[in-house]
Amino acid sequence: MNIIETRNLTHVYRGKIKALDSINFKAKPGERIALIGANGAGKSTLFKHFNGILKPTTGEVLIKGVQVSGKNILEVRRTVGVVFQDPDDQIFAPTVKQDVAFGPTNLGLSEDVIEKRVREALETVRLTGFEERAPHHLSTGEKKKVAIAGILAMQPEVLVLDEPTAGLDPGGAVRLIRLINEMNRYLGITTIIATHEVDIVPLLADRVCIMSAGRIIGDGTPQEIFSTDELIKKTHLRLPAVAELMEMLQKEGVPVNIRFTLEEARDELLRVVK
Amino acid sequence: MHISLTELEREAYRKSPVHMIDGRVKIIMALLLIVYAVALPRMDVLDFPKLALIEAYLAALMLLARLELSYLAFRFAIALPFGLGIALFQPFLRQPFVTDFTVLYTLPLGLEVTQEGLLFGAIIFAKFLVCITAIILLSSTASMSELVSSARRLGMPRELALLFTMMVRYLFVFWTMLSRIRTAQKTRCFDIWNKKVPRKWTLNQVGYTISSLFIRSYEQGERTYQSMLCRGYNADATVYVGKKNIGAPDVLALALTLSFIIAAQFWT
Repeated sequence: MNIIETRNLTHVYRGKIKALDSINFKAKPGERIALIGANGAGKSTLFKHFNGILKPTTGEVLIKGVQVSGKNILEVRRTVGVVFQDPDDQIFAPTVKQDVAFGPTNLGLSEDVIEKRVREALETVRLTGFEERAPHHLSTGEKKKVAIAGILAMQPEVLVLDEPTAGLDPGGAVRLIRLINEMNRYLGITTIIATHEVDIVPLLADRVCIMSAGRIIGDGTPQEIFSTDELIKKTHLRLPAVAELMEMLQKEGVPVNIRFTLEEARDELLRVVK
Repeated sequence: MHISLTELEREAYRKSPVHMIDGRVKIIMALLLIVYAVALPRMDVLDFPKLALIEAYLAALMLLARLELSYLAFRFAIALPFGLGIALFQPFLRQPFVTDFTVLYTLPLGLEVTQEGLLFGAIIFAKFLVCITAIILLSSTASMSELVSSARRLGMPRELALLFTMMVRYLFVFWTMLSRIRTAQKTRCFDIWNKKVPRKWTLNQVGYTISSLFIRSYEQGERTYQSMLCRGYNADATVYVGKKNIGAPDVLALALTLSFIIAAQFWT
């Protein structure tokens, strides 16, 4: 069964701007998916339908096979957690602990369970000991982790992250990518990232959906998507830097195949050199 | 019906002969009509045809501006209760400037409805209606930024103009900020009517939201001020409004408004 499915989902803002145009998207439990596309392609609009923040103008959204409606909205929002790009949008409570407890409290859980969930969520994002800290004294990377912990504490089955590495230093970005992959591998959470940072896509996704002007115009493995030149050009994106280098080498006559991550490229180059 | 802050200005960006009139002229027109309405005698039955003529003129301008009816209804629905609240009490009160009262009905608890009170209440309400119609017309046919620059061109002090300009700018920034916070809270299942959580806890969260907005506005203020300093801001800085000429249609609009006021005063 698909954990998320949209059928002919169309969204029109204020009766004028067509942000989504007949989207048919499916995600299976445990998948690692990246939604890529330039600014304004419709990524954010699409994932705001995954947890019922926006309602479809036409078409339908099904979570675990059930159509999203007013009745199941709480269950939908518990199932699909969304981490927004700017952690300041999400974090508003005076202490980290209170903020992470916000979601579980809304679900009406008992105090013991809330305590436990907050502890576990902070452990997962490695922020144990930050419970009483004030959010405005945290770094962007730490705030991002608090935002993720706030969603994790609701024990979601799908985690949607909007531009997860935006504003992070390179070290912070690497740690966050590792954290997202761990949540997928060890907690079994389906991860969907929306981004235009193509370099992180091969590290975070086994499947890429490429969006342009409110449509999904390509769906496949990172290799398949990034090998289709016209798709990339059409959407004002570029290849990951590693792949671009491999392509340049190819043009110079070096017999290499295009690879997308540093490790793969190293192996490929070693193969050619030897 | 729900109109958000960002949509509030929607009507101000339409194109119509009324929207095209210079902002200064529109401000003066609105002020003239309001001052005229307010300055009418407080206890004269003849006020009604005068106010009706002015109201009809404003309604005609609204039609000409092709404003959306549901939007206008919403704006009136917000403003009217204030005027109604004041007017409805009048028939029961003894206005200090009236010497003789004619009692129409006597109600229990010593309440009496007087003819004079009724008249005074009705006049207050009619004046209020004309005033808010003028304000609604002005604010739905000129954007906030246009109003500020027009007021500046009319000689509003530059400090005030700068304050208003920044208020208009950051009102929208904070509205966006608040909407994003609320979306993120919805994502974590927050609902102020949620019965699973104690009422006090919900109130606390609303309090936190407001206080975090305060902290952010303070920080935003610091950042904005520093970037203003970087671009040479000092105590003598002014808001740039540019030049704009008054055209024949603007003069015509002003003349039309004046003639309606004169007509109301002398022919009704």
